[in-house]
Amino acid sequence: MSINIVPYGVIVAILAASFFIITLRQYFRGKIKLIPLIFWEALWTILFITGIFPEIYESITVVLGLATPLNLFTTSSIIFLFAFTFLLYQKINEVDKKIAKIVQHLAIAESKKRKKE
Amino acid sequence: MILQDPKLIYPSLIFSFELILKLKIACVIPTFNEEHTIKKVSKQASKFCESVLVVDDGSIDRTVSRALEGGAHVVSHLINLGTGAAISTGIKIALDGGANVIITMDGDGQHDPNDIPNLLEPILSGKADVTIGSRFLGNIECMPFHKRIGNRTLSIMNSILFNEKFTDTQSGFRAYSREVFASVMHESSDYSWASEMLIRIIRSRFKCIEVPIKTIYMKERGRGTSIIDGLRIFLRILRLKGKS
Repeated sequence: MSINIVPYGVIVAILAASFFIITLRQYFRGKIKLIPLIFWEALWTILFITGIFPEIYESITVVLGLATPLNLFTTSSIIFLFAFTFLLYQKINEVDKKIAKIVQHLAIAESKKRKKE
Repeated sequence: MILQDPKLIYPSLIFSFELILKLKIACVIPTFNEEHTIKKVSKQASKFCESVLVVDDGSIDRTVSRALEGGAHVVSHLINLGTGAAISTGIKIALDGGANVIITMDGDGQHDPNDIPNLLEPILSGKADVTIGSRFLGNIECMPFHKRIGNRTLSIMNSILFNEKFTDTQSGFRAYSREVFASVMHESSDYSWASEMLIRIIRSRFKCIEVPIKTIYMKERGRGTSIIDGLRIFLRILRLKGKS
């Protein structure tokens, strides 16, 4: 496997390596759990390899009709981000409803307590 | 509160004194930073309602103390949730307290408590389960133009989608008989509660009529529904239509 680096690939590889380290630090600080860590580190690794060895994905790129291997990654990322945003939006909505329920419950409980007094 | 002679308070109503004694009328007023108006509104509402319940939706001014000065019972949300959430909190407490009729109105002085008898009359005489105070059946000269357009548009859309004609679907000045809440309650926390509640009432086949109320707009008040709120209400109406 020959190293066929393009300038854009270098930038991508540096970014991927940086995020790899940042994600690891977040894990050691207790800010993310193990399974999300594995997922994100795998993602950064794939991105790093794509930047350094783009020819690995050439056959996939040709079959899918994309211009370059990095396009494969960016296109997949965009689709992934849409799905992720949708799931986040749903989660936020759920949490919003739960917060409203809690606040209302507290207000009603406080009111009942005051009436008894 | 001991009720006075009903003929003095509700001169247009024809019913027995015994009926009035049996009824418990509660007024629910959602508020958010309304320290300048809530005392007067609470005091005036208490002339017509046995209990006035102010739901403070996370106010950071003196709304709570002013409401207490006005003789209201105050319930507070720890954080601001929205008008819809405040109203549903108030309705739940009023129902727990045994209210037979529940009035909802704004605490910012936009609704005149002297219109309460007009809202009550159809419910007390059995003509309706829900009465909506419509600004568009009265004089709307003081309503800002963009609000007139926005309110009208939403009301027309509601009428077309749900096949029931209403002139003011966004009005929060309403009276409900207790039975309505056995099967209907809105879920929205924001301004879209008004449309949602009306749609659920129509679907549950409760009798709902409109009566004219005064329109009061204060120039210095820059709040109320915005264009973004209008869009949210529109999307909520479409979602509810889609569920049918």
